Amino acid sequence: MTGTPLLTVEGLDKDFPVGGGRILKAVQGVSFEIARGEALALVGESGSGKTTTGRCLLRLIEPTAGAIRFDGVDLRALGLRRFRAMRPRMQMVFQEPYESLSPRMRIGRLIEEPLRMLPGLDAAERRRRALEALAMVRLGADAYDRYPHQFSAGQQQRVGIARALVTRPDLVLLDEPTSALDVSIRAEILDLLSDLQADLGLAYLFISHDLTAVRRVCQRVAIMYLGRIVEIGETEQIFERPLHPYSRALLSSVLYPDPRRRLSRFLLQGEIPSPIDLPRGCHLHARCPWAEDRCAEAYPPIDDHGQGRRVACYRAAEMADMRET
Amino acid sequence: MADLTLDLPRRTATTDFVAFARGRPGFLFGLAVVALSVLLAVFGPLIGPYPTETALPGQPLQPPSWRHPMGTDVSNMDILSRVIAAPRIDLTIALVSTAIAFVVGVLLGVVSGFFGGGRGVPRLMSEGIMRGADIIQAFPVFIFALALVGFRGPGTENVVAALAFLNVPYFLRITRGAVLQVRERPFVEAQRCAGNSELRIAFVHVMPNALTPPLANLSPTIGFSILLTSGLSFVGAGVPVPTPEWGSMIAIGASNMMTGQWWTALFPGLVLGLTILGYALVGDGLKEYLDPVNKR
Amino acid sequence: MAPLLDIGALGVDLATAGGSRRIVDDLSLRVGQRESVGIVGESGSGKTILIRAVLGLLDPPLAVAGGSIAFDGRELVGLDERRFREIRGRDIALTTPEPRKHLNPLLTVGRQIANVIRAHRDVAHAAAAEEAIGLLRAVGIPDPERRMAAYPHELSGGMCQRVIIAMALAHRTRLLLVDEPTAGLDVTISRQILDLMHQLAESHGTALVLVSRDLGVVAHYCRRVAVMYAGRIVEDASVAAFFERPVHPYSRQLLRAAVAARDGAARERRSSALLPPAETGCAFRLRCPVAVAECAATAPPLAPLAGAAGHAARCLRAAAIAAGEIAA
Repeated sequence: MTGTPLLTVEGLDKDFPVGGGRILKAVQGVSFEIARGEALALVGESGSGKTTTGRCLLRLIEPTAGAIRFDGVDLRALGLRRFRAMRPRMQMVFQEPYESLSPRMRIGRLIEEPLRMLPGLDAAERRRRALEALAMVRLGADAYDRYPHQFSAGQQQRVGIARALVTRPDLVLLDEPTSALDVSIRAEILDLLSDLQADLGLAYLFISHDLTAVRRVCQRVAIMYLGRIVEIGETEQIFERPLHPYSRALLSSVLYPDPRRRLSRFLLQGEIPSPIDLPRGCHLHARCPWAEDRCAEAYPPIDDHGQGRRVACYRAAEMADMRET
Repeated sequence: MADLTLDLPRRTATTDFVAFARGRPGFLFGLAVVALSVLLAVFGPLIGPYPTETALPGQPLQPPSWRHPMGTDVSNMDILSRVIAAPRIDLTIALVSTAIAFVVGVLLGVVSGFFGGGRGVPRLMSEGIMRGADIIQAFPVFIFALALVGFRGPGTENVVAALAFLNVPYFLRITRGAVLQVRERPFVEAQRCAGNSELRIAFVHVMPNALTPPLANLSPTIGFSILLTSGLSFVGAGVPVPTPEWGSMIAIGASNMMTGQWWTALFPGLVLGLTILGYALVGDGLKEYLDPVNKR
Repeated sequence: MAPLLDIGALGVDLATAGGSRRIVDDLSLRVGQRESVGIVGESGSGKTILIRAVLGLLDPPLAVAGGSIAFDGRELVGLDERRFREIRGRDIALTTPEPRKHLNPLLTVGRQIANVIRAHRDVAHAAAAEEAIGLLRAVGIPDPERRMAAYPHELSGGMCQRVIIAMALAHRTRLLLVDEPTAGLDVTISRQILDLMHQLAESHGTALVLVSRDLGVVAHYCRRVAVMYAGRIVEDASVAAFFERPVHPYSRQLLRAAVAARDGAARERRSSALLPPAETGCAFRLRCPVAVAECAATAPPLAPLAGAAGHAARCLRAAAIAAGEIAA
């Protein structure tokens, strides 16, 4: 489907006061779009602002500045009550499967909770929808009357997904949905998510610290570092030819389960700086092997490199030819 | 297929509880005391060998004997019969006042905990509730109870009202503490995403998960309320004589102790002490039992 | 050369109200001098319990129930606590996941490293502090003199992990047990830490036992790998042989899942990963695609594969799988 994007985020800022008059700039000038039925990944390490961005979109916290438009509606202009009426259209799956389920509620009721916001559904209809959602995540109807603690972590995450799908949303925010799971279960959940996206035409915002986890699910990736998007583009293009040094470092850090594959030597030096006292210029310059003088002067603009690729690096154009040092 | 669930060993709440209680003699003793006190509250006045509010003919202040195992008091009433009958009034006061305090305290605790640190009206409410609790708890409990009863005059209802009022801040604080922890757990955020209103999240999702600490404190509070009731009666501000009540019996008996009639105050005092100990032990046991860490 | 660590038929029991349950069973593992062995398995497979058993750190309800753990020819099972303390931290050291939680928040990191030094050697405070500065420098902490006075909360997770490594290497450690080295660390930091550990172990001549769920870590930082499932080692092989041709059906599933998770390719239908281990026979048989009736009857031993030195698997059908006769 074409036309207006499902979600447009423009110039999103979120500051947190941290005492002593200092400010933690968790998110700065983040802009992206998600089309209907498209999955976008938001990838970054701790302090990158990926989670804060997601929470701002669902108004779990209020952004400091910026515009969020969902299906043409300016979300920030809505009162909280009217925003709640929008919630069934944008749902969320959480990182910790068990912790995100009310421990004293049966699975059936848990899944039906979001349906309460939809008018005109009687109990029988709600039950039917809940069972349908359970079937979508390949759980049996017998789960309906059980409690969360009676399930394994992988099954609990399926329940979490069923709850997010029961309202037939347009957009699902996935907040590290697999990082608390074992490898074999992780693969299953990723498969399930990608099947559901195709079958139901869902749009995802997939938040993750693991670049490889999002590869099979997401068509596009945005990479964040210290509050800003440093590179955004189509998944396979970024995997094949990262143009930002940070994207490249993230990819190099991946340890493939194959001892014959040579370890990449392209690693960043030092630590991730504190987001409270951000360095001047490009946030990466102190760790970047290709930094120049201008990198320490001013933050580079985010430039278009064709095919929807945007990169915030002065040397992005040269990056493709650079050798590992 | 995917409709598999983990095969957990078959356990029920009852078998769990029995397994827990076994091997904890203090807890078992407490349970026995609580059970006995409840039985006596229902049947006590019916099973004593003598009437409880009328003097017997003959000599007052008889020492313990086969006819009067605990002796008789200054009005020649049988002390055993009165000790057995007393739980009806003592326990009723304690139960009713604790129940009221529990309900009010938990509700206020949820409001103040869940909305604390927020903004606007809910925050003001939360702050107001906490300052109210501070004021109530700033006074010594017994003096405050005495003042309350003194203000409205002695009488069972007034004792109940005073005790309930005093115990509200206690349940409020315990509940608030639990709510402050529960509200940070991710499932609360999940419910927000489901479109629930804040009030519904607070009472449907957070409250049931924050009830363990106040529930575990019910029993000790009942014991403490029995003590306080007796204390008020002891100074004449509680249950009016001649209703059988441990505190007033001790008060009446206290003057006789000077002159050597030790049994008049000793037996009601002993029973009172054991009862409070029993309720406290049940509270300790429940705290351990309800702690999820102990439940593997 | 005799192995540095020789674990033979180790069993660990968990005491429960209804009797005891075997949670580590018939576990044999040898670690040579200067060797690096990776132990892989999912949560609940008994990896961490194994490590704690080697360090003599099992607390009730867990207890060693049979078998032996020989370190440098010395039996550790049943060793009294005082003797154990001499070995712990000096000859065998441990690094833990979530490093910040394992540092005392009330002491400076310099003090904590000095304490480790002084626990096993009679040196003066000043000398220990001097040595601690050297260690901090060795683990790549910039400006070590100043960092000596830092408290754990003032350091990042990666820095804390470096401090833990410094403490582990404060003595001429012969064996370093590394529990989940990358858990809780950012990806760009993980590689730095792994490289550091690897390099220090090489230069100190320290043997490494690296416990991880991440097959990628094991593939690149270990020479041998042991796969654990339900408290037992199900496959033991050189890294080269294992990643080339794993034999046990569980190892194969694990490796496929790890490759799929990294590459985003090769999806397969599995709905069995949720099944619990079987109580009798082979623990993996309920999830196993090539299980036969015999697997329910006998629990297979960890048997060497014919024609492949140093490669062993706990599977009745290992020979057939290795020969390519059946696809697992």
